[in-house]
Amino acid sequence: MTNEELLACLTGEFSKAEVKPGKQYVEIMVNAADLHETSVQLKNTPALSFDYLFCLSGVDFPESMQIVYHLESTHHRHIVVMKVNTADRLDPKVDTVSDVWQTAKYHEREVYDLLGVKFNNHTDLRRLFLDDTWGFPLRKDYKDEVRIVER
Amino acid sequence: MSETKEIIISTDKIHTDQYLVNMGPQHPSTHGVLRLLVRLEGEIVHHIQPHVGYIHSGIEKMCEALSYPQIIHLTDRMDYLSAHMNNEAVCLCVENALQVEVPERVKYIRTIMDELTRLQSHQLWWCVMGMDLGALTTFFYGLRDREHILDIFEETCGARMTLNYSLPGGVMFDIHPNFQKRVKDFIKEFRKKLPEYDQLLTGNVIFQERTNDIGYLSLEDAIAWGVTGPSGRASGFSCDVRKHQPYSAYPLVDFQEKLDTKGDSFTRYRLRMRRCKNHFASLNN
Repeated sequence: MTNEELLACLTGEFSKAEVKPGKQYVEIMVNAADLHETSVQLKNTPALSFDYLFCLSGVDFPESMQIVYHLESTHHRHIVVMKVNTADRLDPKVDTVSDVWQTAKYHEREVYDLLGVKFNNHTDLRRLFLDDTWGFPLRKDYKDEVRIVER
Repeated sequence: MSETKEIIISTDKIHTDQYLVNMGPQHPSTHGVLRLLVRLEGEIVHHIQPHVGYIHSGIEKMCEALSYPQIIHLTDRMDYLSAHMNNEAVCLCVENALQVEVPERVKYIRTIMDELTRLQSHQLWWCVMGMDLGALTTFFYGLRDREHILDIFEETCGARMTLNYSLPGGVMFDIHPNFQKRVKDFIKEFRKKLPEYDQLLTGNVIFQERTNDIGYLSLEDAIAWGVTGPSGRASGFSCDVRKHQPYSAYPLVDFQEKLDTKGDSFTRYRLRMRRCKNHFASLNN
């Protein structure tokens, strides 16, 4: 599907989500409560079949943490960016999608490790790189004692 | 009087318990420092728990305090075998965000540098793959030929591995006057040497035994776990970013995405070798 067709299709399919044409890829903003259901639908709807999660990242915004999912369909070759905001910035929680796209298992552990986002129902949510005594280094209010360069 | 018993030894009756073995992080075959917690029963691996991050260098955090041109110097340390592609990825990102168009010449230079980087990365992969299986000669062959590419890099940008060559908006210097000739000579020479590689390793019985039908990865798993590159393509996953989302001068390069479907170690090996030949085609244009 082209971006325009995808935009129309997603707008029709997901009434609760906010779909907009983004700069490069179509973006879909979903509510945290609908995340898992939307993910399953994005993967299993034959016309969409987003089976390949090629990037999962966390962003620290002033009011909330945002999780960004870059999805591609290996069959149709179209791409969508799914975004979800957590309700609470300091104790962010969001459902896991690791049962939909297996690769999310490690990506979510990374986001948990560096930003402190907890993924509900994740089967193995341990810190990936750092030990348990660390804070969450990619949060904007994290203070790095060793850093010399300050901006 | 003691009674003697007949003891029958049969290998398939020996029962062993499962046990845990720690492998790495400084194990010679875990290139790039990886620790694996392996649950074994005899020689059968039942479960592996990877512990990653032994060389995590916190580059994202460092980038927060640095300017874009400064970041370039960090990115080639992410993978010193594909330094230029990592540099270029940041450059393309910054250029995209700033809406800057780079000159045509820069696009061509970057593409040629990319392909040379890929080729030398494959050479190192090939020689250490042989070495890990105990064939030390491959290591010398691979490194000998890789030197030529590193020399070409050094002549143009002063560095051999961590190139720092791309900058947001262009490249650091123009290519050296000898560049074109040396690349063409190298291709001519290396094309002759590639059959030697095959004679040395590909047809070897031990090598075949240890790679053929070993380490099968299905297409579904490759997609689900996001296994890209030649490993994914050996399972039939069409994921060549140069074809699907071409950058720099790749839209103008005439090349085929090589796919295979068998998905075992040997297929992955053969696909990488075919890619080497592919690189010549791209470089020749």
